[in-house]
Amino acid sequence: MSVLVVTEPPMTSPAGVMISKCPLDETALETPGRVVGQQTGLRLDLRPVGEGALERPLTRCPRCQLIVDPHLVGEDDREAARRLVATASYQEEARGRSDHALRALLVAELRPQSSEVAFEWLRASWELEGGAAAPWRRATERALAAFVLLGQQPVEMDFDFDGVSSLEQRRTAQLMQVELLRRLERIPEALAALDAFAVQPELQRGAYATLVRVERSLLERKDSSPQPFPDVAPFDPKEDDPAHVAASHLGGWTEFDAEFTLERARFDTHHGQRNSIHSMIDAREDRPLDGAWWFNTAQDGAPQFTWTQFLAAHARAERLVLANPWLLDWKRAGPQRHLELWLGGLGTDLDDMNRLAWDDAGFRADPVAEIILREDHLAVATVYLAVAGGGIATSVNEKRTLDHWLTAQPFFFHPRGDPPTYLRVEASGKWAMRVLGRVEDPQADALEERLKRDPLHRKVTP
Amino acid sequence: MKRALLLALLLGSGSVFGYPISPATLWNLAADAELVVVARVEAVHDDTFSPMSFAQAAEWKADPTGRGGAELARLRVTQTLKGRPAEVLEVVTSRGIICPAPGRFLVGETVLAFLSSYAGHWHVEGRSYGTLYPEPDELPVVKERLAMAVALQTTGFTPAQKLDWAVGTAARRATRWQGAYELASALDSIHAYYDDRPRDPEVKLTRAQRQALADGFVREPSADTTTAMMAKLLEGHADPALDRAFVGAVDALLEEGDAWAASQAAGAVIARAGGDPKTLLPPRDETFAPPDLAALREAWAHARAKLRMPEGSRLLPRPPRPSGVGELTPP
Repeated sequence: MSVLVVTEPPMTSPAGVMISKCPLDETALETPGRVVGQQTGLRLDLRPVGEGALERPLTRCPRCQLIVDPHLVGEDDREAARRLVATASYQEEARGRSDHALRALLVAELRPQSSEVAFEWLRASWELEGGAAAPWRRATERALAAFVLLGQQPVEMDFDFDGVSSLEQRRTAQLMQVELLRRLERIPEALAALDAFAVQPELQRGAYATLVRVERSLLERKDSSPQPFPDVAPFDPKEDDPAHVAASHLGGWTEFDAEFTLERARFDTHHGQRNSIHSMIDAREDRPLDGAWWFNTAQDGAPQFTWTQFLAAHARAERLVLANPWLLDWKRAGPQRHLELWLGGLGTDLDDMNRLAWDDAGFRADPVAEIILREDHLAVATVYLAVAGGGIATSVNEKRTLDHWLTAQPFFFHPRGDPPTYLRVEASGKWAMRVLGRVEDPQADALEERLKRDPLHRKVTP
Repeated sequence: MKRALLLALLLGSGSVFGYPISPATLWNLAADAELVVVARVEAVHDDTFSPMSFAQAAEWKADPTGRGGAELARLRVTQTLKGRPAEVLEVVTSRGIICPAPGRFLVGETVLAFLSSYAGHWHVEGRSYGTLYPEPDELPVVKERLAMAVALQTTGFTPAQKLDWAVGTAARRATRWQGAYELASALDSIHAYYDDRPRDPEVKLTRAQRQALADGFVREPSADTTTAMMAKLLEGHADPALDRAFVGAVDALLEEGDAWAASQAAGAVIARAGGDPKTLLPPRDETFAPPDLAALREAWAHARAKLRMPEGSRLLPRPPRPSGVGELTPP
């Protein structure tokens, strides 16, 4: 336990002293900083290895024994935390030397559905390595029990906070059970768990096949010692990722796959709909639109559009790009330039902010395509196109490229910009920079009046 | 193309500007930081990676550097200016994040770092404003002004004492922006636009305080964004030596080719000399386009002759400063 109450003489530490306060009883705390150093590896049970790569030291209040962690115990959690630390079981655990065991109890109380419960008990077991056997064994068994529960959770089309899909979380929990049973020298149970895990057909190849082979070899030798994480091929997201698998089952996949590659897919929330699929798409051959970001908005918990619909929307947008040759001129004017379609459902994602510019531009109907102009890996401008040709460009990167008027102009549209500016472009490429009054700005009305009196003042022609 | 898409994921897409951060001066940083150190940046390395799945572990094993995410800057402390003495610190920083502008750690350089702790880690207070790289000859000045701020904040201070501190800080070139922004933040409108701290809109300076600012600028003139700020702060303050210093600062800015700062400074100095910048300088459009430097130089020469401005005092060149920190934080 690495904490002092400040009524003691002031602490000094080579890595600095961090000052905080217990949120439950206001005890002032001082915690020494730490130097992590370089991580050199991982163990088979996922423990980091290397100079100083130990578990993060936690701050424990010496008075109430709370683990002080603003990430975990926010203002709304204080009462629940206060009740927990007052329990006999918590205070019993506090007599041990593992701060992570206490944190595991807190996580179990405050975030019972989180995978963090299992991982926190795992960290507690690491923290207790090298000490008495019984506390280590107890923490490892608690970790095992938590991973058993985690391994039984249903697979959903979503990601948890750590970016781990629920399918991957389930596989990790199941294989971790094998590893912990091995460490606990429960070899027959470990072998049975490994057999149950390894029968899944999709685990017969790649990284998991290697991990299964390593575990089996260790179990056959009855080796319960900590082991390094083996060299394995990285996971292939196209085969192992549930979002990618779900995307490849949508109608029209074969036709799509002939023209495009799905670089990455992930479940995301789009327009408030969970389980929407966000796809990052590349064209296989050179064409006007080099790629696309497609948000396939979910309806009733599942993506509602097919690849056939995507292809139709893409073809429409591509025709519009051809009808606005200035976009292709921009692409040709410099190296590493790409045009990407941004497709929200089957249309644009014009937001309220950019709508002000669109309405000001005076096109008859809503924009029908949203194009991102990218140079190397940076988005340099956003363009909305009208059905009859022409459109607006609402933002441009700070980097100016003088080889084309579109990205040579210093415009940026934000209603509270100073001032909000955008480009109105006709299909021929004739453009004008337009200026709006700032919204919620006392001077905006005056400026708007000025613009009404002198509409030409808006225009800055090339 | 694949790389472009993945990187765009990190950097975001659509709107290509991020959100800016509220400016923090030396006074603010002295108050907010838990620990202030002068340190050499020894290294920047990855934070420990503790995977939450076997897939993440496999990815890390295949390429430990390709994961993105948190990095730690290791600082060898040479002096602790606030907080308990420290020797080696590791501070969280983040690769791939350009906005809000994070603190910068330039390996091999000496940094003045303002730090606070959160959940067991050291973080930079005020993001990009909280890592400063003063030149060796400037460091004693910065330390002195910082020590005064800490002392005042520790013992309690009156508004007049804080004002005196700001005047003394603006009088020195090394800390000019830090003091001038405290005196009149609106004069740096680019940064003030994002300021969410309550600040006095207009500070009244005494004759003695204005003289102290004027003497400071004459002794240590600055050719940067503070030129215009100082010229406006000292509007109406008659002092031939100060006039020469301001003219010299505008000349230097035009010579360096800093069109933005030169345009602002020329306008303020012309106004100070009794001219009308709107008629004497090239008209500005309402966009972000930088002023035309050639036209600006011509207009400045014309204005100088017309207003009979004196010959400018020669400014010693200042070494280039690391961009993206302190007052050079991008808007």
